[in-house]
Amino acid sequence: MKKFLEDLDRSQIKFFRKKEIPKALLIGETILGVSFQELGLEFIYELDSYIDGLDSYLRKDIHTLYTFISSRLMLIIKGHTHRSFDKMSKMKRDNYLRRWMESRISIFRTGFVTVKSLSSWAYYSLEQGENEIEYPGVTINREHITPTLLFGSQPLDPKDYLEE
Amino acid sequence: MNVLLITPETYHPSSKVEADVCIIGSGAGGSIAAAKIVKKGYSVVILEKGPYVNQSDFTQRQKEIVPRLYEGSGAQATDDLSMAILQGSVYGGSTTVNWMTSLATPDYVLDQWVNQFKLNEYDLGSMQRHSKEVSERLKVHRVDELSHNPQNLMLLKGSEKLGFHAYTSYNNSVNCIGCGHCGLGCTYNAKQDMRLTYLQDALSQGIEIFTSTKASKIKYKSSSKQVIHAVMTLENDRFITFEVHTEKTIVSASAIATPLLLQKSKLTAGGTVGKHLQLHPVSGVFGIFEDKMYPTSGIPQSVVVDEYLNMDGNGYGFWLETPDLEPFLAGAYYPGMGIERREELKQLNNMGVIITLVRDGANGKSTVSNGEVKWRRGFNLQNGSFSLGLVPSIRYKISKPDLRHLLKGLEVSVKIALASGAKRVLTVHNQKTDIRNTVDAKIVHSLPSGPNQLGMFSAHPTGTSRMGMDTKSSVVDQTCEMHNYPGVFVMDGSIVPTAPGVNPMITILSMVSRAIEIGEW
Ligand SMILES: Cc1cc2nc3c(=O)[nH]c(=O)nc-3n(C[C@H](O)[C@H](O)[C@H](O)COP(=O)(O)OP(=O)(O)OC[C@H]3O[C@@H](n4cnc5c(N)ncnc54)[C@H](O)[C@@H]3O)c2cc1C
Ligand code: SF4
Repeated sequence: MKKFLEDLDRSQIKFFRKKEIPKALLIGETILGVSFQELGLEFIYELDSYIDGLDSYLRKDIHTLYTFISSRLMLIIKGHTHRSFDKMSKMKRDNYLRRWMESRISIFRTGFVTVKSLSSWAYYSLEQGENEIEYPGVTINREHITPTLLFGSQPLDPKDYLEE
Repeated sequence: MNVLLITPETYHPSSKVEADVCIIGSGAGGSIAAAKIVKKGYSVVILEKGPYVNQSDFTQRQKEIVPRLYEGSGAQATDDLSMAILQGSVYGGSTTVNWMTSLATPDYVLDQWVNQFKLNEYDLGSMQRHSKEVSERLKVHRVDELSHNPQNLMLLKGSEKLGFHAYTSYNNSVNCIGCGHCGLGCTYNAKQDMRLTYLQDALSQGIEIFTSTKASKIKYKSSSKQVIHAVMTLENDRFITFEVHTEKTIVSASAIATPLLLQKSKLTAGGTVGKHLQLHPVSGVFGIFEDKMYPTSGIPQSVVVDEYLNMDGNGYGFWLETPDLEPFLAGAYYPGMGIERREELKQLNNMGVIITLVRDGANGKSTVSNGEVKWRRGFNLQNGSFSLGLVPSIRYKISKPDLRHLLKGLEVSVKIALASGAKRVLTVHNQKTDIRNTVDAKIVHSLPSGPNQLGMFSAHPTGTSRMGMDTKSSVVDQTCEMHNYPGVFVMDGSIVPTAPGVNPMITILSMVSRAIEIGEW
């Protein structure tokens, strides 16, 4: 992780504190099922820029959440581990966040939903995420031969009717 | 004639603006109010918090559009974050980013308003007249049946197979090419939103519209004098402030922002401002098909299933539609986590999504308050945050009967998807479902479905400054004038007395149109 973050351009980061960046990457990795190397620095830039645009009271809450979710106390209580968040095995981290997701105490689920939505936002806003789900995406500047997608066993592929 | 659209680029500083009428917000309510009132000879100014946009701004890229054109960058939600509340904050308001379904208020809803709220001016005959007028202006028409995308056809065919009543819906578009990005604004100027209809009408009659300009407070001096504090945001987070001196104020900032502004301005006598929030809570199912469904392409919501709109005999229930599924919505709501979820999401083009929208308020009493919008400070138990300063707070608890309706909607959606050929159907519960036959569809009722156990969102807030004759349980009278503050009007989704049970744009436009007709303008 340390090596990976060597290429991070700090000048592009407006919201995250230095310590939070590995946590945000590992949370993203666990929820999205995409290794942090694959997520890439673009993921952090996108996440950072989105959160930075939120209202100031929300930004404050999100700092608290990233700190709280990876705090020793929480890891002991909910993760049953003395290891730090960065040093846990992938499986343990997965189990730990699942416990947040499935907790009977609603505030944990609230925390989980927040990091899930933020991580999903960042990844599926990137070209990489869009390509992965084969998002037909932008139709601008392509000529539309037919406006409709027809139902059937072989419906039209948008790529067929959107001419480059 | 003074025709002016004032953006931060064209603004010439002046500390005072004068007008007969100041309208706060350029969404559905504010736009039609402006177009109608300027026609009667008043000078009108609109203050719109969001930016001015035209076709060239609609780049179809969620990461450029959502943070810029949605309220709170799209992150607005109830305090416990169990329900995202999507609203446009842009020139044209939510209509600029909405999904175009254009349905008139159902007759039984209007009957309820007449009987329970004594809103005799809003009977079926009057509202039909106004719905017809606004629908004509918005070029509302039935969607061409050949234009359904696979997802909508799946909903239609599946419903027909199971004998559920379903129909091809109505929308406000001209030459729509079905690009599937209504939620990001229409690049093709096909959607007949407020920018292209009532705001055009108002501008052509000579009004001033200040965009990127937020009304921060209304100073109520008398029934014929109010001063509005306005803040225009310039580049690099700089801003300028000025005052609008006006004889009448129309607050059209939406059912979330209107009560917040009224509360900040201490216009709260009567005690109901911000209460009675209705949301039309939404949840959904993902059906996974052998064939391509392309849920992110095509016209959204072109089919409606209304079989279950009246479940308990009192006009409450749910209806089904299909969303405009931008990747951020799919990512946020697709259930589960980890590698399995990633692999499944790779099949997004083979998924068809059905959403259940609930007409909330089924508790039996229309006066019940499940939701409230207000300013709060201190510790917020709902999300564990602490704030010394005042922050906006949206509280909403889905009632038991409404949740029952929502879950029934999911069960029916599962059955419809399976009847249309889905191999598997997933609800958006945390506890992952993988339903492969109709018998198992009932499982949705036994899964934990509390806050953040079942994914939900809303795009239809209404009711927070509702209309009524009783000054204790409502905020405005039939002309939309505040009971306790003559000269100040509310004209937006806030006034809708009970959830309309259809997508609310036409209801809001028709109510405002009617209010101006019967008011002293
Ligand atoms: C994604 C989405 C899809 C939807 N799909 C449909 C649909 O298919 N059919 C349908 O009928 N309805 C739909 N709706 C709902 C419909 O668009 C709204 O119900 C309707 O536009 C609400 O009108 P309004 O006047 O209450 O507020 P809005 O249209 O939301 O307008 C309020 C405006 O006030 C501005 N404002 C807020 N505070 C201030 C302030 N302090 N100062 C100045 N300006 C302020 C906001 O920026 C905003 O532009 C959808 C909404 C969304 C978000
Ligand atoms: S689907 Fe139609 S109305 Fe919606 S954005 Fe595309 S062209 Fe415009």
